[in-house]
Amino acid sequence: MSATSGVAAAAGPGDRLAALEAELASVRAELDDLNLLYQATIEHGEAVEDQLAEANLALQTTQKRLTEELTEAANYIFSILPEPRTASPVTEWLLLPSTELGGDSFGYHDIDADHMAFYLLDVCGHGVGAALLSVTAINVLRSAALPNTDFRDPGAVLSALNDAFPMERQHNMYFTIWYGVLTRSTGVLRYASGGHPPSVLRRADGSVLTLSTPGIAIGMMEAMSYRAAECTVGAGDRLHLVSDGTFEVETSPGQMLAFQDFVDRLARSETPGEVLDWVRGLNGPGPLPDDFSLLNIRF
Amino acid sequence: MTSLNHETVNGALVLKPSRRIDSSSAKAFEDDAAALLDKGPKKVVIDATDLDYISSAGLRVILTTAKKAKAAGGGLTIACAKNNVKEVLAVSGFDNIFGLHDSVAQAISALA
Repeated sequence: MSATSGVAAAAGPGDRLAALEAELASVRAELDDLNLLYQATIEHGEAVEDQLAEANLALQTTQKRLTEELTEAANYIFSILPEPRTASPVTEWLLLPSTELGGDSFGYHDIDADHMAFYLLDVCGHGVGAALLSVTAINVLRSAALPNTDFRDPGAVLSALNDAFPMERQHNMYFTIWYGVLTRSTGVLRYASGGHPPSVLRRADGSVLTLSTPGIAIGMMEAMSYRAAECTVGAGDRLHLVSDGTFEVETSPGQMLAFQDFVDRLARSETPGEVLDWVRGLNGPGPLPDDFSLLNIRF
Repeated sequence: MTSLNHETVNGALVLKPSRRIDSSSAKAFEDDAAALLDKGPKKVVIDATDLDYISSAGLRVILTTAKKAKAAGGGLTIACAKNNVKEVLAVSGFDNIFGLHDSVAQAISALA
């Protein structure tokens, strides 16, 4: 270094100026190069941005279409749910899927002049697959589309459903169900359940009964036989059909709501909305973990 | 490598799930149980001593494990369930289908 300094120091002022000018020209050239590179980068960035915007638009269009289709499917499910009844027995219900489409559905209809059926079912899981099986099963019940089955006999209905919907042929899906039949002339309520939470009967005198029969979910195991049980209902009695999503909430971290506590609150309720508000209060903010469905029948 | 607590007692595979089988842990239980069953045992006991909660997703994987054991010529049963777990097993009808036992030893002899 010291040798070079010695040479520069030995040169005249004209030489030093020429050297500085040459250096300046080289720096300018470098700057021009950098400017060009900068421009190119900006242009490339803009092109990438354009591509991203296009992809984003395509994604939005697809998402909008999917959302519309899911909404359409949800509309169909709600359209096949029955209107609340204002004549005796009066019905009131609430169905709140945890995602756009749920696996819960229910219904009620007159089988003949003297018999009326009430049912609520819950397909394992949520989403499109569960919803498809749910509406299929509900349509089978509504249209009495099971061979050689007396739809006034809940045990026969569940056995026939079990034969018709084995999980191995339903994409490994199965469903729980509560199915009851009221004989209007006698007030006898016959019912059967498959893997489903008991229905809650609150008598006019204030006593509370839980109604269920032993039996596993429909489609879990072949050749199961389901049997009905019965009780008598009278004017002023209320029957509540529920899915497990109505009470499977945590009251504190790791602590699930006890079924008996739910039954006590449900039995006191006047409307499904009141029960939903109570459960939501326990669950805390955010969506409920499972489909919430509740059907009230007042005799 | 499985994270599911298990041991083999008198040729029966005893599975001891901890705390909860719910939608977030069910898949792991199912996969672990399937991997353990692939090693040969045909009889399965679910030792529910440490189980606080089982959801419908949990019932589903008990069922798939039971079907796998049955297909191999064996079976599945359940031991030492706490009251709230027993309640869920009763509502689902699993108590009648698989049986509930007060001890693992009783459960194993029930499968014999």
